[in-house]
Amino acid sequence: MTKDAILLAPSTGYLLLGLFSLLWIGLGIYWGRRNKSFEDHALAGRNVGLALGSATAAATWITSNTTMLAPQFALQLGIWGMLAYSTAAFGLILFAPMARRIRQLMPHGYTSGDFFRLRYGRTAWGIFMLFTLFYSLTWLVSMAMAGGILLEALAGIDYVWGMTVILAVCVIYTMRGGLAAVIGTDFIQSLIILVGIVVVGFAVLQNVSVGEIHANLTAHKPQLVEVLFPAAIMALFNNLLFGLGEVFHNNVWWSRAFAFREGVGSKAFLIGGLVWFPIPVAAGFIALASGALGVGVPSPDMVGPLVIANVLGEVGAVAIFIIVFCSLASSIDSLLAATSDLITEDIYRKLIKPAATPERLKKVAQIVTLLLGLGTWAVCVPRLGTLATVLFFAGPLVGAMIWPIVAGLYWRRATSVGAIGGMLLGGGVGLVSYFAIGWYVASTIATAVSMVWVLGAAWLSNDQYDWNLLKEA
Amino acid sequence: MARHLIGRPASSEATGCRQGDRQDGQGPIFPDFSVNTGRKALFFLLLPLLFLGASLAPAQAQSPAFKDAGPLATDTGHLLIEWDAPGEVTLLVAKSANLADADPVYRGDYDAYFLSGLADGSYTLVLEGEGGARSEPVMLEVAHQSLPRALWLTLVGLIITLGIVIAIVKGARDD
Amino acid sequence: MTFSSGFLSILVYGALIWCALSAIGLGALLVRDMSRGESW
Repeated sequence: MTKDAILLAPSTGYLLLGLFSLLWIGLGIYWGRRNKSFEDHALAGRNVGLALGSATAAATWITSNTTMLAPQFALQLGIWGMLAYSTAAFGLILFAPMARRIRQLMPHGYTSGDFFRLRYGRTAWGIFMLFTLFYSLTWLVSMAMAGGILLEALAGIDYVWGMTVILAVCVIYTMRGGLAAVIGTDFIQSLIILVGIVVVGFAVLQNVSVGEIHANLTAHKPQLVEVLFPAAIMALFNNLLFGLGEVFHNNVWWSRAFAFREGVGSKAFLIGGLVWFPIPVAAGFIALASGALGVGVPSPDMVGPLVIANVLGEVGAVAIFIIVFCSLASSIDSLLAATSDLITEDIYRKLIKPAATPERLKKVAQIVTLLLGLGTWAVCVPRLGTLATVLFFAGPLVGAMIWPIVAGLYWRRATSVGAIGGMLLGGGVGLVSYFAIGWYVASTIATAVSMVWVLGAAWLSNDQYDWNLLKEA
Repeated sequence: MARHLIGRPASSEATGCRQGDRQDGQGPIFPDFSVNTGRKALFFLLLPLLFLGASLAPAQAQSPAFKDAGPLATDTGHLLIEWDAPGEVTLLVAKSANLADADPVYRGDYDAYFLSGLADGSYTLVLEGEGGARSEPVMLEVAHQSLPRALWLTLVGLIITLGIVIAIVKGARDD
Repeated sequence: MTFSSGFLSILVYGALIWCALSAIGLGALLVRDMSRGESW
């Protein structure tokens, strides 16, 4: 990823890593004592309140990418780039009304897989599982790899050790504490990230004014302040639709819709989206300051840490280390929990052992979490860069699932043919356009194709789906 | 967000391939598969000569050299520039071929610099070593993507997004 | 056509202040939830 970018003494890095690892594991074990059944473990007793609900929505959506890729976006695509990244907040904001609808239609539901199976049947469910597992597992692998690479770049901690510690910590506290531990730690992590970004942002502004940044950009990087910057304009809606697709389909978000107390879901997702919205700008503008501050950037994905460490020295490097570690943990834990619940509920309980007891299901979910962690670790050890790029193929796949989900939640006339065709055609055409035209149109085209098919199928159908069928979940 | 690429708010930092390149639509996604067999054979033939040359060359000051001799092109205004140099270098970017308006964008001992935010036009890139030795210039052509196409795609994105918002806000009316 | 320096200022300071208010708001919300015994 980068050259010579070690910003912190390894001993400081190991100390921080150790302290935060102990904190998260301790809290996970403490909160895990509340969990008796699978429902407690997977959905925190379906009673999460507004503060914890809002914070977990925001924190899970703050991945290492939000804090690391937002500066890269700003450096590549300028002011539009930061704004384009911010549009991902609409994924959470638009999911708010859907969360209320989901809770109302499926009061006993566990996963987004439950919805696909009951609403559209086995075939659509199979395609959904394929798409969502592809997305979730590559996201998990890419974040674990990013964790190892970042710890190595920031503090010289060996890649395999850093990656192993981050994964192991998340696996341990997610296994022991379930969703409660994930949500509890998410709250602390979201506050640390927000405060860290604000402190770092204002500290950078002590060293360079916005006026100086703007003057430097105008003189040396004029395209970054250009309103009609083609690549950046295209990124705007492509990014928004990618975000919608990710949130609407993934069990990370559905499990939260089920876990939040009645009446809390829609407010929590709305607040979470609003909390998240300014972060790409607050974290991203730092990259725009690199020129005015005279910081050389040998690799775009390290621009954030480089500028911060150059301006703030060791204090800044410690801050970025903590922010990155919290961003990674808050997303890896959620993905581990939600994916293990999806496999436990949709594959183990529905296909293998329908009569399993709640205690047994909780055990299975814990084992699946461990196996997911081990599998991810094994894939990450060889550090194959190409693996992480596979995640980019998920853009058209998740875009193609937006309309089947929205139509299936709101329209009785939405059909299985519409959902299956929408996912396959949208995903297929989107992937082709990814290679034929470019990444910047793939999600948009996939969503457009899927939309036309789903709308057409609903318009032609005479189906009147019985919403009560969803209550069986 | 996870995501996204501009695409993905999700993770490019883990990508071994440089995202900037990939987004430009240049270069294969899986570079391993694209090695030209002829060049590979040539490379192995020349390898012993290279070692021979290296062992014979005295440790004298060398001029810095770009890894890619160009000409380079980008349709997004950003590009990773890499070079080989024995020590500190200055990267100069100029719009005129004679470097009259050269802008020193980087000075330091990294062996790469991420250029971004370039407007349409032809640029000349030159490296200056510690002793003043200059590299061969490299030409960089910046031609941004078509603005009408970008605006048109933005309109498509806007329509889809509005459709989704309307479907959700209108909700279920047939319950 | 370029984004002005004033626009960038509003964007940057607005985002930083928004983040600060979010952190305070989330903290206050948790205190409220806990005082009512509704945190989870």
